[in-house]
Amino acid sequence: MSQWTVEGPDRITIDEAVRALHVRIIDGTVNVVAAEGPARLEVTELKGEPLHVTLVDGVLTVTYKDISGWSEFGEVLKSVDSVKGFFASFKRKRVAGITLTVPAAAEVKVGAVSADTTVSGIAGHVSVQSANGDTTLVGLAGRTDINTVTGDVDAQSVAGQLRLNTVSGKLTVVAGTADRVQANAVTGAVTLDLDAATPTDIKVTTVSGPVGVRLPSLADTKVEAGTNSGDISSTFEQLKVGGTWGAKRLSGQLGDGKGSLAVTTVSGSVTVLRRPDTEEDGPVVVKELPAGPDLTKEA
Amino acid sequence: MSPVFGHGRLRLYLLKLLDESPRHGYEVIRLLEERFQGLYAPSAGTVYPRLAKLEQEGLVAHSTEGGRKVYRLTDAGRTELAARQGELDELELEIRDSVAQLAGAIREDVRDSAKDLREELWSAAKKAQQEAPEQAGGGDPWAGPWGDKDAWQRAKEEFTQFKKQAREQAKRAKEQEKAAKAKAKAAEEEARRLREQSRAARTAAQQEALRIKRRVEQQVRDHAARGDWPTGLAEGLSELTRGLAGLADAARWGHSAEERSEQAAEQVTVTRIDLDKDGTGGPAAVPADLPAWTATDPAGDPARELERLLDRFRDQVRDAARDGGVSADRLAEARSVLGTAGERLRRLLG
Repeated sequence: MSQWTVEGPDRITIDEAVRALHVRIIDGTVNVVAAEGPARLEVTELKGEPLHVTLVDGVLTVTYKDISGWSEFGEVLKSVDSVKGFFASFKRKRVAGITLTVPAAAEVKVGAVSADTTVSGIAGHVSVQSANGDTTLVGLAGRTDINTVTGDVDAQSVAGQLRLNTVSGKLTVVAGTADRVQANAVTGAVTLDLDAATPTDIKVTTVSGPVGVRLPSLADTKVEAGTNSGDISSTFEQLKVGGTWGAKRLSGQLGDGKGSLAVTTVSGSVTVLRRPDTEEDGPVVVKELPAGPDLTKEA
Repeated sequence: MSPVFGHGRLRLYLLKLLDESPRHGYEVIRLLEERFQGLYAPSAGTVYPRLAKLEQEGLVAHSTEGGRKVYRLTDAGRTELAARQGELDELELEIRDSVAQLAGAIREDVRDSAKDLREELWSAAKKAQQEAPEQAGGGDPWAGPWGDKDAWQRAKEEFTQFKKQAREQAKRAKEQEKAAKAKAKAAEEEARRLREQSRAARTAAQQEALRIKRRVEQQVRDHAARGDWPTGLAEGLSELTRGLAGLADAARWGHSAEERSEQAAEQVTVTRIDLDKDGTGGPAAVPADLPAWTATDPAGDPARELERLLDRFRDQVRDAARDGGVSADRLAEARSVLGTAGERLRRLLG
């Protein structure tokens, strides 16, 4: 087990192999970037408490000493002074700007209160829990679970399985190639732009957030969308709008109907659009190439 | 940590790349990826709209070469680039220097393209709803459920229709309810009428039975007083039979056919009253509920069984007399009952 305490801006190179990364911070920025070579930690900004970094059994953890785990929480409760100190420590504003470079296969778990999180190029399981920080995802290829309260989630060129939950944040997927997308929002808008050549299973649920889905013109999917009091529209002729007064449905099949698109909303509007074809000079092969970052190159 | 890219700083990259040489879209993507040290490649879907935007602003122009669009910087673009050269140098230095800055740049770019996408998609959604109002249920998704006039008109019509239907339905329901109430009342009336009829029938039957009984008794007594036993009994019996037969005739009570079952029930009651009081019934009337002491052994000798029956009969009568006491009236009545029964038995066995 290795252990570091970071008091200010610093750079640490971790020589041991890292297979998982856990980050728990309050405010600031967390960047996780996939790259070959040893894992590196770059702290560009630090206010409040020092950061506590440990590496145990291939799991790299970056957090504050007092929130690193529940066992330590128990220690805090042993005397009145330590309890006082514990709560006083929360009063000081803690801001950390940290960037981690880890192998693409690593599992990444980030917990943040109001810090913004960016994760790029990871193929392992990525999970981010955030209250009001925004989350940015690029070129992920594995399983991805994001939960936020008010934070926005922007995902670009994300493959694999993508699951996004928010209360009032905006969920946006740009050029998504995931084979399973699940987006749940209460009041947040859900905007999905999908570019998958293979059939995709998409499930969107909102209470009042509007839902906009853009599918490739050659999509292969069964569409079933319903709203209780919102509007429904589509630019695909194959999809039919039906329903009685109030509740409306949009259903139909594109291609062979191997994939599925299910949208359920109470009062949000639903729009299913045809994705405009990319410029004529971008043939399919060329378009696909830059879909994920080239991880073989090293900085 | 300060934001790496201020607004539009990433655009400078595109301008710089096109300043070096005219390029087509894919080349721009590849060079951007290089600039981001292979960690990030904006997708074609985000770069092309951005190039189109720059073209709209007049900073970039394109020509078509071999079926592909090739973008080049315009003079306005070169002026813009020169004016912000310092900013660009700083940015490049930052990105080379630190992965953090690089990640910041990536975030900035993704946020930009997400914002662009949202604008594009939702304006397209608006257009789709306006273009296909007969298919779409309303208008602008951001402007509430009734964005355009057509949708509003249609919704109003639907609502009017819905209201009309609802009203009709309510009316029908009310009518049905009224009809059901009337029916219930009629049924109640009918039930009451039936009850009254049955009560009247019962009273009439009881009175009739009483009348017959009195007449028979009178006749028997008259004859007995004159010492003309057999005639009195025969007349009494025939009178009784006639009266009971009359009772059995439902039509006599003036009831319709549907009340006949009730009449039959009354008849049974009447028959029993007669038997209890007189100890005799018409030849046709065999009461179903004989007392327990009348039970005989069907396997035994009939003559012996008769002997036993008579013994038990005497015991019963004697017990009853001892318990209840015997007055002159009772004796007279008992005499007439025993006489009637004895005469009948004599005829039956003789």
